[in-house]
Amino acid sequence: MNLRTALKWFFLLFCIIFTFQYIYVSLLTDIFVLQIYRPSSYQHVLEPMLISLSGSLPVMILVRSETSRIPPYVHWIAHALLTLVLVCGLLIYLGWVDFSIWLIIPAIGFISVYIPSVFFVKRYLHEQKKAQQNSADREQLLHRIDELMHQYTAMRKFKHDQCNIFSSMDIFATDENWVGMKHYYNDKIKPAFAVITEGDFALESLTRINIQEVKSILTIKLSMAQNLGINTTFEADAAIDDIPIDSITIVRMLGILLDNAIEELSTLKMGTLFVACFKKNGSTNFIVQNTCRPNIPSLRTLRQPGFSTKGKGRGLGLDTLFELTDSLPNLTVLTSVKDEMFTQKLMIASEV
Amino acid sequence: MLHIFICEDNDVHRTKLESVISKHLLLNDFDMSLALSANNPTTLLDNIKTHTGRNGLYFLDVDLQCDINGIELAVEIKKLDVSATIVFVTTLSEMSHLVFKYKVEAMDYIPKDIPANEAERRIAECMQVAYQRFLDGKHSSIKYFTIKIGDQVLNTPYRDILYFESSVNQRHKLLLHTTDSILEFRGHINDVARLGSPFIMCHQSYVVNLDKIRQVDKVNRLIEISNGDTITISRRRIAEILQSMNVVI
Repeated sequence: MNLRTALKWFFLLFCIIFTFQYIYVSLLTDIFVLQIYRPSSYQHVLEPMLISLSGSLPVMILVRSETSRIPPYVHWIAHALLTLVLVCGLLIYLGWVDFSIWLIIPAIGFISVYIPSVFFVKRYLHEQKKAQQNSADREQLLHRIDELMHQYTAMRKFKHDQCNIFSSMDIFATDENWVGMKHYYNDKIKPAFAVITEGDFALESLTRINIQEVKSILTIKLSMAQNLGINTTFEADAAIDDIPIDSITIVRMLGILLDNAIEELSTLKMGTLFVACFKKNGSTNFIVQNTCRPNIPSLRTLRQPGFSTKGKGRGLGLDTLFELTDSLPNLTVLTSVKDEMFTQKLMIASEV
Repeated sequence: MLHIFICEDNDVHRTKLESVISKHLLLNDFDMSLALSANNPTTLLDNIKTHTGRNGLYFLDVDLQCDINGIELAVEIKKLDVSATIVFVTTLSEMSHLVFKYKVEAMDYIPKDIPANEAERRIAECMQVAYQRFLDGKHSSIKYFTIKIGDQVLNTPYRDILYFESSVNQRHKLLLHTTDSILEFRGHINDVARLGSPFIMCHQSYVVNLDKIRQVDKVNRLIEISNGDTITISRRRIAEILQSMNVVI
């Protein structure tokens, strides 16, 4: 445990103890047990301030530890209550109001409203995350449907062509024009056949990936790249049956990496996308490599949150990627640029 | 001495390889010899097993017409000869260059279908580079920073490391910066702060390689690294850094 964590916990503990001590010992004992009201207890503005501070700080820390992004309304609630407590304290201090109820109500109100709101915020954040995930899944599904439609069209076109080919061959056969048929085969069918097999051959190794989700994201993205006219290859030297990582996470990560690579290649209008998946000494390795522009910004710049080669508002991808990678102890990521080749390598250890 | 091994099932190709290698052994004054030219992986592996402790440069055919292929053979060789340098010779462009490069850490892969003089040039280049590496390995003890990913080991020479960074957004990971790459791995900055020379902690989130500092900006408390990156120095460490730099220079 380092100093920062230790301090944080110490502070949290201090705040909790202080709150309880103040509420129960000072306030509640006075009023409900001893049935007396001592104005001196409340004569300092400092005390109500401390109540709210000691109440709000642990909450802030709790929320911060959950996520670094605190929604604005948490602050609003905190500030509203803080002001209320301060105003009441001030009124008592000045002697304008001397009902202890004026202080107890906001203090209790504060605690009963604020603490549940933390749980509410937590749930809200959780749901937001889930919604984000759902929309990502939905987008992927839509992509897949698109891809299926595309394949269906391609298939229909192929069927149509095949019919034409056979019928024309039929004509040659009926006429017994063997020379013409030979020419027809060499000039038309052979090159067409080459085109058909070329693309598929490059992605043949995808059949070695036996994890459905991973296979489907790779198929979608790689065939998308091929359809965009990007020279794409996929390598896997042996069957991949398991990856020691949550499959949704790996799918999201691969999605981001492949999207970035495809985006760069489609802007460049040249270059190649190389993707590989293999096991080495028991750990799983994914490599996504693409040709990149010669004047690529430094790797450090690329990793900045929100940075994108496409200008503001884009580039959330890598940011999300590093957020994902942080929570995965068995993942190591190597990013490199060499000879106009941008390479991202994910290395997943089988055990932590 | 650096030993050269060939494993190729096709006699024509094997003879060609042998002749090219012998020619370059004659042309250059290398401390190298052609140890074995085998037509199957078993002979090669047996030979390595009986003569352990040798440094080898291996030219391997990928499709060996045998129960194991060149890639699997390379993995076996690596187990016996850790510092093995492997070059693949392949028919057609069997699309596996990433696997060659990253899984087996092959130095090169030479397609058989390229023009003969081009192939010869690349073979010569491989021999040159392998020999240089062999000499480097013999004469200096290069220090490596090692990261283990399960059983997979990732070595980065100290001389390639610019600095380590612990990221604010990623509290469980460390970033290792080199000239052309960033490696993100699980670790804590205090662990790398203990590495010692030439590394020194200049800030609670940075450990820098003293040899890679281009200049120190004392006013703004910034260090410029040889690749142009700038990192901050904390006030209380600035004197220490300057002093250590003077020692180095």
